[in-house]
Amino acid sequence: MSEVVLTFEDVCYHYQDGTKQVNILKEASYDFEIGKTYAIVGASGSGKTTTIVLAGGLDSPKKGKVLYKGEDIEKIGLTNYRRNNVSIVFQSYNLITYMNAVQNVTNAIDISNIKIPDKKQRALEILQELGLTEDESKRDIRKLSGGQQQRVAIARAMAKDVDLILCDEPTGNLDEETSQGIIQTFIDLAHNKNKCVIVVTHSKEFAECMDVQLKINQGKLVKID
Amino acid sequence: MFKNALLSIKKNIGKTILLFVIMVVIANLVIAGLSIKSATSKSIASVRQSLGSEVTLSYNTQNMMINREQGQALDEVVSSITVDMADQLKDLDYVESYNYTLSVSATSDDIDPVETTASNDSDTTTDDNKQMPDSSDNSNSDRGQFMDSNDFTIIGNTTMANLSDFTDENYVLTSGKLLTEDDAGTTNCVIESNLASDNDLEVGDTFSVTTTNSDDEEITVTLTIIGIFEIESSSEIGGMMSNRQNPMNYIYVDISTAQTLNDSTTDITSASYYLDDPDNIDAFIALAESETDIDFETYTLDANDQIYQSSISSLEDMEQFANIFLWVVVGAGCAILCLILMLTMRSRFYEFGVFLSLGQSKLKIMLQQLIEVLVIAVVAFALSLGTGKMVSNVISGMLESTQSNQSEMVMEIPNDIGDGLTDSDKTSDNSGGRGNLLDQAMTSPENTELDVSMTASTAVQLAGITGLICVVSVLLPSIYILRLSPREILVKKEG
Repeated sequence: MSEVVLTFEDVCYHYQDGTKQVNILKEASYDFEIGKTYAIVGASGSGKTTTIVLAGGLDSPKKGKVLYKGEDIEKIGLTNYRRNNVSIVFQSYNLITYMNAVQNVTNAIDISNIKIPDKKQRALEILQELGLTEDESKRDIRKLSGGQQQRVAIARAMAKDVDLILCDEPTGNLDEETSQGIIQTFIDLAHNKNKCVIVVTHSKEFAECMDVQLKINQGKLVKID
Repeated sequence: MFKNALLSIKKNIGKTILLFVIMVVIANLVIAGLSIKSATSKSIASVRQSLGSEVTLSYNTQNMMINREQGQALDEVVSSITVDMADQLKDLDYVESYNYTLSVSATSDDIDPVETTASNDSDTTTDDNKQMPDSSDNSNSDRGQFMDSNDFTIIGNTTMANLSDFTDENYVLTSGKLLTEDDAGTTNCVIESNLASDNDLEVGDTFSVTTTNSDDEEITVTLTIIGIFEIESSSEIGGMMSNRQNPMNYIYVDISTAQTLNDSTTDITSASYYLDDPDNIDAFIALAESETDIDFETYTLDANDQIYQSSISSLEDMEQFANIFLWVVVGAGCAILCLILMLTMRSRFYEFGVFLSLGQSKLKIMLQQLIEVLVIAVVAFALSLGTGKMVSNVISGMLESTQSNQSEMVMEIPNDIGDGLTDSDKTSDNSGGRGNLLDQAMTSPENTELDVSMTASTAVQLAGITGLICVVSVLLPSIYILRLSPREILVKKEG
């Protein structure tokens, strides 16, 4: 059996909409294993993004625990957890616009305090691995295409060299060809680099490429057979 | 963090230029405020220093005038200052040295006075204030005389070391020496060079002077010349009624000799106390009022306070204005920078969210913002060190011109005070130098032009204030954003 990297343990999450309490997750539990890709699917508002947010330590569950390799991420400290244990790829890339691709990647390395002798060279290698040329890697980030920007965001996630990569609609803004390239990258990361990749997606095709498909049903994470 | 800050400054050039321009303006205004504040403080201290640390025990002429107006006779309202009275003050705290003065009018059979003519030399000045008879001189031989037959004024002093006419070099010793405490009990004297040359006198020569006491008995003392001085400048030569009012006919002697000629060992004209620091004048006067039995209704301790107060009133106004100006600039500067940073930070919501999602701490995110603002501030600060002097000059010039009417009024007040001075005050001016102080205070360059030059202290204060403005301006909008969770920030950005 593979190592469990992330565990949802009776996680509850809700928010207030005026006087009304909207329940998103209700005692959701699941173990995510290393070396596998996961797709979380479901209707809009079902709680897919909330699952990524809680898994990424961007917010805390109202009840229950999120465990990273068996340890409560609240105990690790959410900032420490985000810095050292998890990478998140957003739908809108969330790149720093005053930095080029290389600088975005090296900035992530700097923040995570990883000791790499030549950070710039390492960033260029990752970007080239994802199909960006050196020229593109040093270009103003706003002058890159959506697919290129998403690859930069993935490169940034890869540069941190963590076991858990979370992606929120990573191909939502991309054409089919580019999306296929991105999907293949995630599969490689999981199968060849032993990462756990959890992807939130609306795309059935994307979800079918993943090792495990999950849906959120009445606030619970349910595996689709 | 520093690298990111520099990148942000470079890439967001529009925001950088806007912040830079605002910071240059703020820094220049802060420099102007600080320079004016510092210059006015220096000027106030300078005026105080120029008036010296001398406090004089003399008649309370104001009360004397009031009593005279109420019909009291001069004899009733004028009380002599006694040595006992003066001695109570000389041992008080803050007193470094003291000088008792006694002026006596005298005649001489041995020497002739330097004659005072109706038309004065072209280099002398006429002072109408000095045409009053010697109403308060306690010399028996003087009292009540309008047309004075005495040709000389004998000025007895404990020491001549602190006489302002000599320390200010209005009178310059040309031969011999001045009287010191070592001359106590001797009949040594110091005379003016014209008096010496007119009478072929030199250091070492002797001559006699004579006074008449209240019983019409003559008192004659033979004086030995130990020093001769020359008058370089004096405002007292013009407008004199008699020879004895001419400084050329002043004869400086030891206090004991003057007391002999006055036929009294108890009375003096005035007592001056030289304090360790002008700042201690108020403390000394308070101490004198509490520790001695001197009647301060009849006598007064004069530290030229009226002159000081009227001289510094406009400076104090300016200092107050500089304080308010500084606070307004700091407040407005903070508000403007906060507003701009808040507006620009709204567009950086996503950036904060990304940094947080990458695991950057909130403190480091705030520090990056602070570094960005501080780097711009440092450049603005450096530029302002060059331009600040110009701005300070312009603003201080504007302030001075708006204060000019008030200053003119201020200049008039001490002249009125001067009118109120009695002749004995003016005689004691020569021994205590108050008339010259009056002139000094009025013509003091510090009163007419502020020195708004940049000092190291101003630069340090500017750095502190600029730093404070930057910290407040970054902290407030940053806290506003960073109080949110990373999810809330990212959701806001997405929205």
